[in-house]
Amino acid sequence: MDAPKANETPAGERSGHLLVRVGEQICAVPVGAVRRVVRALTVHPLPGARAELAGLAEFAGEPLPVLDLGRLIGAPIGPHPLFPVTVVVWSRTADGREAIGLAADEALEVVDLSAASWLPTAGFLVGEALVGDQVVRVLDPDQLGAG
Amino acid sequence: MPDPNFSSSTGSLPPAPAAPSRRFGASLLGLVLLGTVLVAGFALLLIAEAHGAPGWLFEAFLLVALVAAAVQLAIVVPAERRLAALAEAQASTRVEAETVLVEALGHLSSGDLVRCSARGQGLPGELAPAFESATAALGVLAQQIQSSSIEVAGAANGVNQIASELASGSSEQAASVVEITAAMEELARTAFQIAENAASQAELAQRAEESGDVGAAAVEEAVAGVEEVKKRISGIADRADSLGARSKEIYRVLDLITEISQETHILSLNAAIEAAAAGEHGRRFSVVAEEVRRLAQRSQESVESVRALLDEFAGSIRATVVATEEGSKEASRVLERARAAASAIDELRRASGDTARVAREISLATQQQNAASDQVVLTLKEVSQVVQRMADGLKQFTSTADRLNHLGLQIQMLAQSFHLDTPHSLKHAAELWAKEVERRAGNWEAIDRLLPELLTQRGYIEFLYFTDEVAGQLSSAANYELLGSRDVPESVQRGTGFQDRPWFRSAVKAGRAVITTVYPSLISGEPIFTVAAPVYEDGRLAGILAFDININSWTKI
Amino acid sequence: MVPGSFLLFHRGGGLWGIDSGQVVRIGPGRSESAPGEAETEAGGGTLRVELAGGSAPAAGPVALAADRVEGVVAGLAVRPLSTALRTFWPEAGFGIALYSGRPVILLDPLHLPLPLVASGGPDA
Repeated sequence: MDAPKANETPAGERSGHLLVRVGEQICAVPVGAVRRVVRALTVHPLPGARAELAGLAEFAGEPLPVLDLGRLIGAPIGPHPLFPVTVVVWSRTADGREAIGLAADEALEVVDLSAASWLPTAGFLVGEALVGDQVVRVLDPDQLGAG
Repeated sequence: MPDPNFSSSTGSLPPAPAAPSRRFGASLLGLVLLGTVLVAGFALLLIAEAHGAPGWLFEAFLLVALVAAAVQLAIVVPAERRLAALAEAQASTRVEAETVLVEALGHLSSGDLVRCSARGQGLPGELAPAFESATAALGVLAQQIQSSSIEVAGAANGVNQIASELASGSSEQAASVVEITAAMEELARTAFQIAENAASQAELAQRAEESGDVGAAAVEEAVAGVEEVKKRISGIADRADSLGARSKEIYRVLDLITEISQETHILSLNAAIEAAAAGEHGRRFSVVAEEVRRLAQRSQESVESVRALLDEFAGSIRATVVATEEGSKEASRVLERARAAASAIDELRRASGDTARVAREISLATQQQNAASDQVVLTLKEVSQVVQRMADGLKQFTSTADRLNHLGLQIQMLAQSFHLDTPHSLKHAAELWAKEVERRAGNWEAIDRLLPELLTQRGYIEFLYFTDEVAGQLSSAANYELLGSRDVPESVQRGTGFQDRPWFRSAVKAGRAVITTVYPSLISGEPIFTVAAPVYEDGRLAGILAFDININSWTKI
Repeated sequence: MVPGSFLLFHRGGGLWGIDSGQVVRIGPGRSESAPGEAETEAGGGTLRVELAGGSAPAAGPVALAADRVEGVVAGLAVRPLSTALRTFWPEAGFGIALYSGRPVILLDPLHLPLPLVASGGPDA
């Protein structure tokens, strides 16, 4: 029996999301998908890779592909971050789950977001929510692997 | 003044002794001598015979006496007769010589050395050359006297000139003395002013010196104050440095805290995430995680505040440091200025000292100057007195020179009383020219032509004229350079009354050239003397040639 | 069958591995370029890792460009390439491993990534 999938949020319910900033933009990642937030990992670039793939890193004894969140969502590059982070997320695949790193400028906080305003979109950006007066873009890590 | 108009006089000489008496005297002496010798001889013979002398002595004596008598007759008597004849000839020669000598000496006593010399050539034998040399010597002497007189006149004129120059010089000198005296007084006044100025300068310098002292003290205080300020400034700078260092430490601590907050923040996030995964069980934990997150945030905010404060602080420290550096620079500048002021004040003091010294020296110098110029003024007064005396002396000098000139003229006239065979002898000139006129005697036109020619030969002759023996006609020539624009008076032109003139009468009487004394000219009215010579034609008087000489021209003779 | 030992080499900032049995020899690269350049220039490389076989049925051996050879390593724990990795890095490879804390992509000699192939083709 599967554990409750914390990142499947029924409409109307609020669920916890980790807010991360990349450039000027803020993304929300469902806490259920977040494995760990760590200080930015050393990323080794892969020649021939797509721009979104920052490179490969090592986490918990395993190789970790790290995606550039800014490129992923198309955010303009902001000022050089003081304390960049890598958000290690679980991405569910057909055979299970795999860890993906998201390189972000800053990890902010965990907030509850209502799913009401989410738009069913394709890809990993599943919608937008409002936190205060800040628009945040909600990610679905499971879609990350699909590209 | 000796009278030149003397006429020749014959000297008196003892008459020549008669010849026969002389002849007789000589023979008589011979006979007496013979007789005496014979008698003496005879006496001796008798004495000898008395004393037993050989008898042949008497015959020898007789023989000798006979021989003596024969010799007497044959040789001595003719010889005596020849001697007597010779003596007679000599006597006649002597008489002749005496006559010549008398005549020549007669000319000599008239001062006519030319005729004297000419006559003297008639003297016999050695007398002629001896006489010639004697007259020549006399002539030379007369000539020398004549030229000496001119020299004397020249010297007298020279003296006159010098005297007048000296006189003008001394008057100039007197004027200069006055000028110098005025200048000295001016100088004294100026020196006095200078001394006064110097004194006031010295006073100023003294005051400057005093204020210089005060100024120097003030500057020293300022310098000390500035150095104190500098010390304080550098103290501030040091504190600022240490503050800067401390703030660096604080920044490091802040960085550390920031690090910790970041870690804590991430930790809190992870905790929240875990808590979410834990579901209900994790709710309290998520609260704690949230609290931790907030704590980390607050601490980060504090860090930011502290950092901002620190930045501000660092900014103000930097500003302070900059300001203190500026202040330090300014202080240095002030110090420099103060030092410059101090050295300027030193200079001033030195200069004041110098000025005071110089002023004193000037004062001293002007005092000396005053003494010196007083001395000069005194000396000048003496000089002006001397000048005055000299001027007075010169006046005497001038009159002496005049007298000397006059004396020279007199000597000249004396010399001219001699008729010498020199160009300087006026009488000779007159006689020569008389000969020229003589050649043209009777030809008045020729004489008219002749006279101007002759006049040009002697530039000192004022007026040359020839009148016939009755003073009925006159030919003349005048030197207008000397006469100026004066016209020859009518009476003179016609020669009216010339026969009564002294020169006319003396010339006629003397029969040779004569010189008059000084008398006023009929033409110019100025003192002149006249030289006149008779002109003969065929042994009889044809007229008198004469020329006038102004005594002012006499030195040109 | 996973090879036992791999030749590990660096190229373009990444660490790669190839079955050491496939390596014929390692020689100097075609172009001597500056270390920084070599990593980005495709086809260049200081070294050539010459392989026995080729990815395509082209005649002759194939060589890989390398900046630096790490060495031959055995006993690597090989994992399959993750989906995300395959999504963003479409080149083939049959696994990924960690060597000294550093991810290594293990290459399939039959499907060599083009960026890693040495330029100039097989040596004559």
